[in-house]
Amino acid sequence: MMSSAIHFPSSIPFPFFPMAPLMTSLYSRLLPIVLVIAGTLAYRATNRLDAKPDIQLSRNVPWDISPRYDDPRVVTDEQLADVLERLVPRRDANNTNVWLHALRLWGPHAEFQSDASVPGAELKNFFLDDAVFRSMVGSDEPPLIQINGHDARPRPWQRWDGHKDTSAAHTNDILATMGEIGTPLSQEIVARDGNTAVHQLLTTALENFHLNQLENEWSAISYARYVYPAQEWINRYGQQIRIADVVSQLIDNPLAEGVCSGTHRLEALAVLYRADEQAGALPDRIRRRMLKHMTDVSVVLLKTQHTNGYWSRDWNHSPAVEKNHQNDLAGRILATGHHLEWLALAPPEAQPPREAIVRAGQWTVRALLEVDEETLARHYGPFSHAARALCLWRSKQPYEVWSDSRDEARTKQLLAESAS
Amino acid sequence: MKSNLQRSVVWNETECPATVPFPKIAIHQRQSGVPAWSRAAVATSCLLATAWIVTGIMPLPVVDLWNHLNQGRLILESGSLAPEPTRAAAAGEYGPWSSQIALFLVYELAGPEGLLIGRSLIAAAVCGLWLVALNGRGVPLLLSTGIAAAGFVLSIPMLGGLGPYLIGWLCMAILLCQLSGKEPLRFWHVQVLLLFAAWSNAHASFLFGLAVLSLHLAADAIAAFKNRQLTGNSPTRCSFAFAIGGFAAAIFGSCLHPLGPAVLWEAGNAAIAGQLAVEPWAGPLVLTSIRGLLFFASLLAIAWCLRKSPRPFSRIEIALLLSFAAATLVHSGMLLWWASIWVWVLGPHLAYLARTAIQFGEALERNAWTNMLAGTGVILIALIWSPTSSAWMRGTLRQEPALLADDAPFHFAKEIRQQQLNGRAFCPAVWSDYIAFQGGNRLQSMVTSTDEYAQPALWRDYQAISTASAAWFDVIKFHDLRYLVLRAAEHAPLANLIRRDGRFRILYEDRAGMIVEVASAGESRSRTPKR
Repeated sequence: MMSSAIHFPSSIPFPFFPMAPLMTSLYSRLLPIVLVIAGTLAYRATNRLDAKPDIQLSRNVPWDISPRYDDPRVVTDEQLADVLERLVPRRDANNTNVWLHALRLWGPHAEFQSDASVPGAELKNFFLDDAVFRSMVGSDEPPLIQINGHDARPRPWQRWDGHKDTSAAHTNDILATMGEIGTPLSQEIVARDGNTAVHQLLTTALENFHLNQLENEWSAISYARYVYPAQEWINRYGQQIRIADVVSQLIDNPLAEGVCSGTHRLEALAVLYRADEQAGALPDRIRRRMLKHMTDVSVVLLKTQHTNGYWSRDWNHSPAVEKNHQNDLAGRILATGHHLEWLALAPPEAQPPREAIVRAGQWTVRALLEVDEETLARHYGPFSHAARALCLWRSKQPYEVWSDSRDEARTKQLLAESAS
Repeated sequence: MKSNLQRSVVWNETECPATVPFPKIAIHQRQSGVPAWSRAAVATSCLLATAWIVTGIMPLPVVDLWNHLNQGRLILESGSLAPEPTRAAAAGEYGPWSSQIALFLVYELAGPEGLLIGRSLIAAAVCGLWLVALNGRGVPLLLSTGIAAAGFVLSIPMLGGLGPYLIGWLCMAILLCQLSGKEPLRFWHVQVLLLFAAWSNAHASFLFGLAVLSLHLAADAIAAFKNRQLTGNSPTRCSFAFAIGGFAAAIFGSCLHPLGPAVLWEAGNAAIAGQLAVEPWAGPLVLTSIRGLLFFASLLAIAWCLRKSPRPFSRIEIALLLSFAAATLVHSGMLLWWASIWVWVLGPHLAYLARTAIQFGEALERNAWTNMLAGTGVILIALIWSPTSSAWMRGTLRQEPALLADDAPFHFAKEIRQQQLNGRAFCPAVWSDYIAFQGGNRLQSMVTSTDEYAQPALWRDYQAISTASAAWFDVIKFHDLRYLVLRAAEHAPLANLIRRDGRFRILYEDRAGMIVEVASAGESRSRTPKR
């Protein structure tokens, strides 16, 4: 292949002159190889300098995802106060999932002035302090936060587990709730096996995240609140998880499939979109895709809304094909409340006509006020979502609404007493 | 002897007189001492770089590879070519044991990234060998590069896998090189013997090699015989001796296998059972598939050559094209070997056609140091762009999940290890190899990826469970299955039934599927199931 036209300039002195032809031939053959090796070494050195950690966290405090709208037609102040009065967390619930929803609704600063109710601070410490956890559920329960070497994660829910009521119902739902109530990553967690921090919950969640994960909604919400605008990370299996992968997972699944009829995926999208309005780091293509999906879902919701204003669990189909086992109040509250919740965070471009929201809101108010205590206690989670959605549509904090209404009632009572 | 050997391949020139010699394209050196390359050399760099990148970005396959790795590990651990619990070779069946051991050793020494590098190396080596073979058939380098590139495109659908067949593909390219020179290489018979000895132990495709070699030698001898009749010379005896010697060397080399001469029969059996091809589950060629489109495009190219080429097709060329085309039509897994034959046969014809179409100017032949820089740059870019070599260059090898195809059951194998599941299991056929290897052979899968052909009765039972037919639970009990590994894409109806069935409990679930335990079989276990 290679004809060696050997040439060595005789005018140049060379210490091994008899070897000159051989050296020249070798030089001509080896030069390309030397160039490739030099390029390889330069590439290696450059990439060593640019080496990034697997997970980059730039924030300690999560993004504040504030509501967008304040429309009293959806729910009036009085209705809101009445609804919230029914959802004060009861101490006898004895269920991690109930208290997580209560914390999410009321926040860590709620004070209910009743021993039968659990204040917000105690709700928060239930998840962050094992002593509080044990005092509320009993010493026999296994720890909620499990530390295993570098990992810290909540004890997962297992169908056949005798302690499942005190476990985390969904993957990373506790972490997402910590983000929603504004807990910083540096917040210490006193576990039974030692101390850790919310930061460690997050890194464990990110490291274990993979694209086949069964429940990814709360992982996505945690990512949006704590990690964004970081665009990618590498999990412990060496897979690069990009923001486009996360968004695709939220969008590509069948609409009503998944936990809570797939509505938490929509919530995750709305939260990420809202966070991006502050950070502005989403690629246009992804932002447009998210907006289009939310808009498409709104169109579906408009078509499938019942004349009474609710949606059923099978919300991607028309009410005419509502399945019998889904035709219950809790199912309707679940679907309607969750939809109102993500729509309260979604941008105006993705909204259905306000009339549809008003009808859904008013139906929710009626349902929340009329439901019997037993059903409400059994389905506290969906009902709390509905109540939170109503608060979001008024851009109000639940505890402030409840507290103000209490003060107002007390004032009225005092005035009445003084008048009498 | 050498003159006789020269005559033995004289058909190549008598049938194909080169009216105008091709300009010689080679790497020259400028007077300054700086190496200068021709554009053909740059094109060659581009071809090799393309082969390197394309194979480098393909993920590790889920099917087949892991079965061979498992076999390789079991052979080394047991010291036997018929290791338990596998059935291969246990009944004297053919097994590509040497390539299985080689694959496993590469995996052990360099990890999954090493396997990918190996595949890229083989693909680039085959392209390079095709160039050598075409050069031996008188095709200039620039045109060889184009033809080899077409052959590589034809091969791409089959390069997504990784297994002994790639070594067979490499051996075929070496054989074609051995058959291509105007003069036989030194110690040609010894080389043939060694090649077939290695080939028969590496992959059953050595039968294809025997077929190609036999056809070639037969045509060679016939041509020499005709030449004697025309010229009155008498080289026939020597030519026959050469041909018979070559065939005997190939047969003898092939029989240097633990099965001895029976390897010919057993490998043939394997071929009939459908296991000879690259992917036994590939099935007949379908026109609407990418494989089908590429295959029929290659047939169109042949038709065009038949019509336009001034160089007549020889009998051996026609025989090779017909036999391999027929085999590819029956089984799309043959596309890889079809590509090799297509390149080798069509190369000179396409080159002649291209020669008449393209006026080679001096510019094409002008060597320049800038070409050398361009060629070197292309190689460097290929090394950087290929994720595999890039990882090696950075010194940060990727972990297995990052290299696997999306539907690989990585997390299932992890759970099987962590939960220490043991016993017989229903696994999706496409996952069974991976789960067996990465699950440490704890779970004995009901079927493997090749049982559709090897064990039809077992396969029917597998289908009964897989499709959730009426007696699916009875089949589970009959086979004493303790676990079921379900693939969401394949077993959605069965998964829905199992979720509502109290006789099962879910041990692990993700979007790709679930692992369930048949409850009655696991009552004594104290382990807490995972979700």
